Amino acid sequence: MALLTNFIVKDLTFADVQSKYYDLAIFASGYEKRCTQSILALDSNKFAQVVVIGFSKVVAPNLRRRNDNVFLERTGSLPRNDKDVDLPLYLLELLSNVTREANQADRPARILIDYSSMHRQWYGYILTVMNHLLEPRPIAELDFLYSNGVYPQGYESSVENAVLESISPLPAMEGLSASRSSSIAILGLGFSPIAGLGALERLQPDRVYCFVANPGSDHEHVKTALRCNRPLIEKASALVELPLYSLSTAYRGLTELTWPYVDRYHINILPMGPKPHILASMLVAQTFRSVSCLYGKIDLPSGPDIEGNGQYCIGSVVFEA
Amino acid sequence: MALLTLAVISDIHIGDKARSSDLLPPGMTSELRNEGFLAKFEEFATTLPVQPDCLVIAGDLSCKADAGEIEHASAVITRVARALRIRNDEIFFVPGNHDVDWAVLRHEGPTESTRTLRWSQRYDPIQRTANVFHDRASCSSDTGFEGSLFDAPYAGIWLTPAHHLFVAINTSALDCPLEENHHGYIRKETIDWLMRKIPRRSNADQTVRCAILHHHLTPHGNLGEEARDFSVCQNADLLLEVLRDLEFDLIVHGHKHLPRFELQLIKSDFPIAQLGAGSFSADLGKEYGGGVHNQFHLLTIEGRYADTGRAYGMLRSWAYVFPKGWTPNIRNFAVIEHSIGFGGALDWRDLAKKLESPIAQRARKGTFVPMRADWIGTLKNKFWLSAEANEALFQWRLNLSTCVAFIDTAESCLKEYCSSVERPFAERDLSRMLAKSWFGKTDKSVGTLANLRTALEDAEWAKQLTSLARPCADDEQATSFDLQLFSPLHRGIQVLKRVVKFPQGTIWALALDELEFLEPRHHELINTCLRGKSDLAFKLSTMPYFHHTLQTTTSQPIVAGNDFDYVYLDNDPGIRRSDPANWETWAQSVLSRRIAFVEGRDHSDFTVERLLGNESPLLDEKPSSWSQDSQMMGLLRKYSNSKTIERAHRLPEPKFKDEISRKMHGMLLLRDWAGTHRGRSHHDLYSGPKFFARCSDANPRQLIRLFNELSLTRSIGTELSITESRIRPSHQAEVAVRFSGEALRNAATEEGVGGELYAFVKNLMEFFHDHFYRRPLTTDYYYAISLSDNVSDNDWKLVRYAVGLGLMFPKLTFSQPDQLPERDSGTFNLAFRLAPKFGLLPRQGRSVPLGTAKVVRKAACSEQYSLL
Repeated sequence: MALLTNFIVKDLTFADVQSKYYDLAIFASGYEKRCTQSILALDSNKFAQVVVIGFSKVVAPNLRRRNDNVFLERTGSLPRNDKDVDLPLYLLELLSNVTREANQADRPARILIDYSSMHRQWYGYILTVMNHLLEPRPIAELDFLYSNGVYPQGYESSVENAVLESISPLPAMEGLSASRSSSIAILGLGFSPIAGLGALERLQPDRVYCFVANPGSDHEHVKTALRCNRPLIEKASALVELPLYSLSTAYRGLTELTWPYVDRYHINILPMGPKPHILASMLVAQTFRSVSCLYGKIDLPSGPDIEGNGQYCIGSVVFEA
Repeated sequence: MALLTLAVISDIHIGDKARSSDLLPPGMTSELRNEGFLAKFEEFATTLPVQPDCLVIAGDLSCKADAGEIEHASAVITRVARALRIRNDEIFFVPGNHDVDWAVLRHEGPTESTRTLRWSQRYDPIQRTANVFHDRASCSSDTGFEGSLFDAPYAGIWLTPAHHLFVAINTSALDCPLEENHHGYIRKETIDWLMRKIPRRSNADQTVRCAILHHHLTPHGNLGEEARDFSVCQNADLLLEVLRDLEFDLIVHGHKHLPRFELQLIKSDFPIAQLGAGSFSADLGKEYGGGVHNQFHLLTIEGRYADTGRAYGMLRSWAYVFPKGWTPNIRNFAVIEHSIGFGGALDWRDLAKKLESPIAQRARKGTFVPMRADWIGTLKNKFWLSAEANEALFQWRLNLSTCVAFIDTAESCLKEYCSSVERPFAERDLSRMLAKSWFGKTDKSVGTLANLRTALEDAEWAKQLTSLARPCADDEQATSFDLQLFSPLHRGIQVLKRVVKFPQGTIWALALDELEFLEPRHHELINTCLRGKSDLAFKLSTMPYFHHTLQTTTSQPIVAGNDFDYVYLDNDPGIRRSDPANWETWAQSVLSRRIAFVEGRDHSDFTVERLLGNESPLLDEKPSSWSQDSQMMGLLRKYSNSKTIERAHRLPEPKFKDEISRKMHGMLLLRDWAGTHRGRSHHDLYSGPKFFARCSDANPRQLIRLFNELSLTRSIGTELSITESRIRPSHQAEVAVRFSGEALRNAATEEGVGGELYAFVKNLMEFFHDHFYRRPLTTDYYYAISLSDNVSDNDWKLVRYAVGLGLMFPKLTFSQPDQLPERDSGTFNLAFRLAPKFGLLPRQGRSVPLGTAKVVRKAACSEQYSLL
């Protein structure tokens, strides 16, 4: 068994975050209101350094301007668009400096990441940098914060016909697809049955598992996910329910699901549900080298301006010595 | 440099059957227009890409074999040869049935001797006038000719100064006006003579052997009911065996004006390239519906493989189109392509036969590598890599994957060839040698193939991290996986051969699956490996139409038929065309074998009937007549148009079955159900063995999926099992409809194009539904689309994807089952398994133009199939 990490995953409350001082806070400015939910609720004086990354792709300029202004007002700086910098290199240098300074002072680096509106490649890369690319291995606490959103009525049905545009693993979470021929697929259920079936068709796994966020933010969402994915669930060996609000439980659940197979199979996890489950999937891929975390790109029309409902799912990934 | 290039023509038909007045003998009058045929040919001949070495004419020089025609044929051939810069002594020919003077034979003589005299005079126009044919068929050291074409042995041999051998066999020697069908005939004496005269080849013999006949040795396929082929040579099988034993490379024939080219297998192990040359200059206006044009061919023998002695080369063909002149063949008006390679790759039928013996001897070793989305995704997620670096990564990963898959092959070989005592030592040696070969260093920790697998996993993981850490990328050390594509696999094979002794002639094959998801530049890299000499045989699988390019990384693209062959495997066209009973037999065979495979023992007691019952209401054989007061006749009167009803009343019994009851029984049952039921009630029409066999579309994988659906929906968790008892017909129908819906929905899962494709196919199905339910029934059932030359890029893209996913099937011919229709032509049948969702019959139907089928009256459609 190839364990790749010595991190542990813990759940935090918003009060825990409010009470902590951070060496670095990373936010994303996008096109929904909830991306500013936490910065408005937190004391920015507790952040030694703030980085806001913006989406280069223009979707709704007015919404973006509104969010940028909030960040400007709260942190004194405007976002840097992802295409304006060499983002992987930028993050590597940023995290390297922050962790080195903190670790030289003989304390863990404390980093807050609000990934509520962040592209999964960005926070995936942050994890990869911390887990694989820094030498010496950093000692750090990465607190991942997710603001739960209020979705408009009928949102699920608007996604139901979404079609899978492409499917590929996140960098450094590719598993062992070239060196293992047998595979397991673990699919996180979203609201698009077509995307899930498409993934199954493309991956041709030897065995399939599904997982769903339950309890979730809204019981109706759970029912919808189960209803519209029924054909997919019928093909699965088991359906696992993982809570939305506990990153550590979701991580442990997925780890237990993959554990029996990691020595013999290449395991693809394709999370199509809420972001905490995407993060949990990434963490499993960071734990076992035979596990891949896939990104199924779904081309949707620009989404609604989702507002936070005041609830947070916060998990801390602690890198120990 | 090529061994030999032949210019080939046939069926010149000088006389009033020729196409242009400049082909008429002087003094003969006709209404033919002067197309300047010969002048156009002379102009065309200056543009040929290759200088031919000789001219071959496969008979029918004239129309009626009168002296004037023969004389003018000689002049025309001489002029054609001059245009091709070919001397008269480089012309080889055979007479055809039109070169027998029937006029002399029509007069029955009063005595036996008179008849004999007349018989001996039937070739006088050639033999007793001055012409190039007479000159060339005269025995002398100048002509290099031996034998006689006009008398026994009715065969002749030319040996050229370069020792190439041309054999002319007169298959028209017995032709006379009394015969109804002018088939060819090969006398036993002729065959004996050839066997005596022609020596067997020596191993080093590089010369070419070509047989010229007028009639064909194997039947022409695909001619249609009205043009059945009665003219194939008698005793052809005997001659083919002799040609095989004497290792002939080519057979050239004429007679049929429909050109064809194929590799003819003889005794299952020796392919001879066979060219039916069509007609050079006959008037073809009314033949084959005007769809075939006059032909000229250049047949080049490029060389000969050292190991098999087999010749390979290229056929190029041109068509004459008035007024344009000679133009490269395209499939619109000629059956064969302009450019066809041959001999370079095994034809699949050839391969199947060739594999019989080696499989028995276990002399074929295969390694299988699938390209799944996760595999390919690793090439797409590194946006920072240049195109060159991405190609290098592809090569690295494919090399690694083939090595991993090769370990499975090696493991299986060790089990097969080594005793249990030897095996651990052989495995230790093999794994260490492979590790040394692939990683360049001896690793004592590698003592088993499992260790070696782990080492390859380590390599993959390390590669993943180094590809991320860009600042360090320059430090990366090249490994054997960075070398040329498949070279680590080649090394692995060599190593394995040192450890295990394989039968002589063992062939190593690499199967790469699902290549359609790769980029064109990746196909170029793989194509390049097909072109080069290699001990490795390749089987590359893509969706139909998705071999993205023929380009290689060199300037020379690969050529289908030469470097490789396309084989269309999506279903068995033989099954698709057969009657429902054959479908059932096929399904029974597939499922029995599947069960035996899954459960590891024989299940000859399994029958599809045990699961599904004996009846398929929509497809079972129908009674040959319906009485006037029968239920079916009532339905016919209720749902059919007046013309059909009138015809049904008029037809006598056997015809009634063929033309009415067989065609309409299922249609009437479906219409009646939809017409008399509302709401979500279920019927049991979609049930029975024949019905489910049909819904698999003759694709074994679909059949197994369908039967798994049937058994899984009853008892969760079990695969197809013989222990199941009979499934209720209504449940069968429910599963059929759901399976059908899933087949359509799966279209939406296709990456990038899914939504559009789903809408496209659904739209077509709604059209056929609408067509079926909104009009009075006739015996015509519509369930196919046809494309025309104005099909849009997007529609063609969607058709290709639909074919790729098995939602449509191109209408293929028996003679060319692997040749998919091009964009501007072709008929495509909708998949049978789509039918239940739309309340339709899983049956072949007539086609409608795509443009018509895309227009749907949406209002009335969903109502009917929501019932079903």
